[in-house]
Amino acid sequence: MFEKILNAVQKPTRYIGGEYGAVYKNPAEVKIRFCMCFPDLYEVGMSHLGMRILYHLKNTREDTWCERAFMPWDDMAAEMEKHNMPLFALESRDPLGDFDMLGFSLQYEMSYTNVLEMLRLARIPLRSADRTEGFPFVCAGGSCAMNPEPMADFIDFFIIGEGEEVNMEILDAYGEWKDSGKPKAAFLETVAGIAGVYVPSFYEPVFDGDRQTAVRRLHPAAPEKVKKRIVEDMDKCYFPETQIVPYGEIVHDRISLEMFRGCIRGCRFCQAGMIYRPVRERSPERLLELAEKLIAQTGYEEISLLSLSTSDYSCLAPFTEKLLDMTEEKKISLALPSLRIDNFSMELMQRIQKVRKTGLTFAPEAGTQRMRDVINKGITEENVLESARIAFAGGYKNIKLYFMIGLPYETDEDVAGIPLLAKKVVDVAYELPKQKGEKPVQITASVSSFVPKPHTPFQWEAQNTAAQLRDKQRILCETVRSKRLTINYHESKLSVLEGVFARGDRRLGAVLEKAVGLGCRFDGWSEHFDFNRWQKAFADCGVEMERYTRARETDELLPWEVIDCGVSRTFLLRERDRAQKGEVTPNCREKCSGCGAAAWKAGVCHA
Amino acid sequence: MHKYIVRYSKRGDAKFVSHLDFLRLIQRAMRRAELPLKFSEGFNPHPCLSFAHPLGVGITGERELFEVELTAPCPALAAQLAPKMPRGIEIVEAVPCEKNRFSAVSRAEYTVLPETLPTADQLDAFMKKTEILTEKKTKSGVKTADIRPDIFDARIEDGTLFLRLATGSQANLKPSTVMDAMGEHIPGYTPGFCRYTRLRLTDAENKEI
Ligand code: SF4
Repeated sequence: MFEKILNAVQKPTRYIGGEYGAVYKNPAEVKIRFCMCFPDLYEVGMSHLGMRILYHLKNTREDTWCERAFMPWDDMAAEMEKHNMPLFALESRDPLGDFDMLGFSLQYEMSYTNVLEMLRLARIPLRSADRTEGFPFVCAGGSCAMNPEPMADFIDFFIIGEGEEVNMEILDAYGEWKDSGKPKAAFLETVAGIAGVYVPSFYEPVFDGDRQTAVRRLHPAAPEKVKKRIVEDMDKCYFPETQIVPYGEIVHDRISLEMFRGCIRGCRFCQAGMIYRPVRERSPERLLELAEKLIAQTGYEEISLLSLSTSDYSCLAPFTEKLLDMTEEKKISLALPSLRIDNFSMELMQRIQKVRKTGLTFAPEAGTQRMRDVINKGITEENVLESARIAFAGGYKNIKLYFMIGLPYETDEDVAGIPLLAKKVVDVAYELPKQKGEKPVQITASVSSFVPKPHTPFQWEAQNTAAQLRDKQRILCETVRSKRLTINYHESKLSVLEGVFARGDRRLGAVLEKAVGLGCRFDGWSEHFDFNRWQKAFADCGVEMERYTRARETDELLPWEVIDCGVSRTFLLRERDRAQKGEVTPNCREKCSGCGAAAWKAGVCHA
Repeated sequence: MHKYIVRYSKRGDAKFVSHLDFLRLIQRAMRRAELPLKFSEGFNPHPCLSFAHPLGVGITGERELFEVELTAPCPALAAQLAPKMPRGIEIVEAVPCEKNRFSAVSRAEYTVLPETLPTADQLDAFMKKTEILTEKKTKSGVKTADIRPDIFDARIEDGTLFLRLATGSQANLKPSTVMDAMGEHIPGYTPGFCRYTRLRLTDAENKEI
């Protein structure tokens, strides 16, 4: 029957497993069956490094077999329903309902509907309260777990922060609980005591109108605040030396080498820059060792360096030198994303791609200096133009510039500054001496809509409405015209919903359930996104989106403040204040700003 | 230059791996095996491989083959490569070869396991037709063609249907097209869901490539 199903779908390799590096065990010989669930397509999920790390980590345990499940595309979901086949894990093909524990990766708010849909396809009750004894535990982690409340009705427990250590502690506890024969509640009591675990059913939020006013703790095992976990020493931290090599091309089909976690910069809009503090680097020696092993084990022809900001790695020059010696010899290509454009990086790029000149990307984020100071993006217009000069001189023709609109304290002038700056980049190309027959440059400004995120200095700010965003998009298009300049912007309604769930509270659980019932899924995919359905779901539940997009008072309890991400409220408020004044805060290497992350004895704070 | 012909089987779910993905898969397996590979020139050097004739998605392959170029002799090629393969792909043998005969491919042998086999009489009648017009999917769209000249053999053997079909650059007939045609031209016969296996590729004299 499975064969018949596979014959009827578009990309059967999404569903078959068995890739090189996939882990197979005898189910009779393990005590714990875990399934990592990624609420998006296989090619998206398999491109996520965290998913790969935790998969192999859990499989290092003899008592555990960790498998994978992804959200099936429409054709597959329809075939499975037609043949009455519940959602299954790729390796054993056993239905998810047979597992001990399911672990969802929450990387994007607009994939929440897919989490619910995956449970529905697996015929597992959506709400934790309805999953009686015998159903698997459902846990979740990932950056979206930093505000667990919108998903709190569906998830038994959340893992907050980096998972390498805490996942193992949870599995230890599970093994013991399974032997004990105690009811499910006993296991939840135990994990609630593990640092970094949030069990939502032990907390009851209290609401008054739009606001959440308090949280009642219902169980003595539940800590007042759940502090995120981090790995203190990146060199000692587990990193899989064997990895799965998918058949079909996935989004990031290469080796990802994680250089460091965190970011020294402190851009005020950026959640990653706050929640992954402090910066902790892997040593060049460890990275080279991993690179060599991964190249040999996977056979991949490309390796990519992963971090929030490649240029900030402290020994980038000597490290890339050695890495290139290795990759050139082995005929492996090297990708360096999020690299600042300067003379060093141009030399590096020359060495990497001796002939081909692909496009470059650059992220000024805002169009005017005032706005860049507000968001603490420590670059000047001259930096941008100089980078462009270097890139054009180096023979690059296509430059993509990333910007945001809808930022706090933004004026129409700031919005107009975006196309004006992009046009100045075009003009830089005209100033340079021309060679005959040379191709003209092409500049793309990609403009996304800002979404205020929890645990950032902008968490209190009002989010722009779809109408406001549309007005700003109009300014983008009408300010300058140039054949050499293309301006792209995103669907503003999607950003609004993203913001609703990013800063949502527990009352959104009902809306999510409703939306899934109305057919919402794959909401991050434009061919699926249907705002009308969402409007209906909100209306049916009597919930207004404005409740979540509004400005928050600083004396208000924020729904995600049950989570302690290591950065203090005082610091966030101080940063917000500086943003209002347009004051720039130095990066962690120039001067510590006392954000609170130094409480861990790790990384840049103690360098 | 040291050329080798590698013969392999592609069974189980691996049959769903498309030819393009399979090419990438073999290239990576070659790198994993740390062989003295000869690389192509260009920005993205890749191992020099060539396949005899692509196997359609969903078809099991018993004795498929490709050629690889190495910079040094490698007598243990098969043994080195075998453990580097994903599930379902097995290396049958690897033999040195001066010049491959891939251009001589003109036929392929298949076994088909349909839900219902045609009876011997039904098959006989089908094969006695001088012309079998059916819809054939080609690169340029669907067109009606006479497929009878491209069916060299069709018989029932050990509860499966054996087919010998034109394959290669001159003429190419997919076994599923034959099964569709049987459903269309044999009165009262519906093959239902079919499983296909390509046994081997041969030249015009039915000698294995
Ligand atoms: S404590 Fe200081 S150095 Fe450490 S992350 Fe915070 S601001 Fe940066």
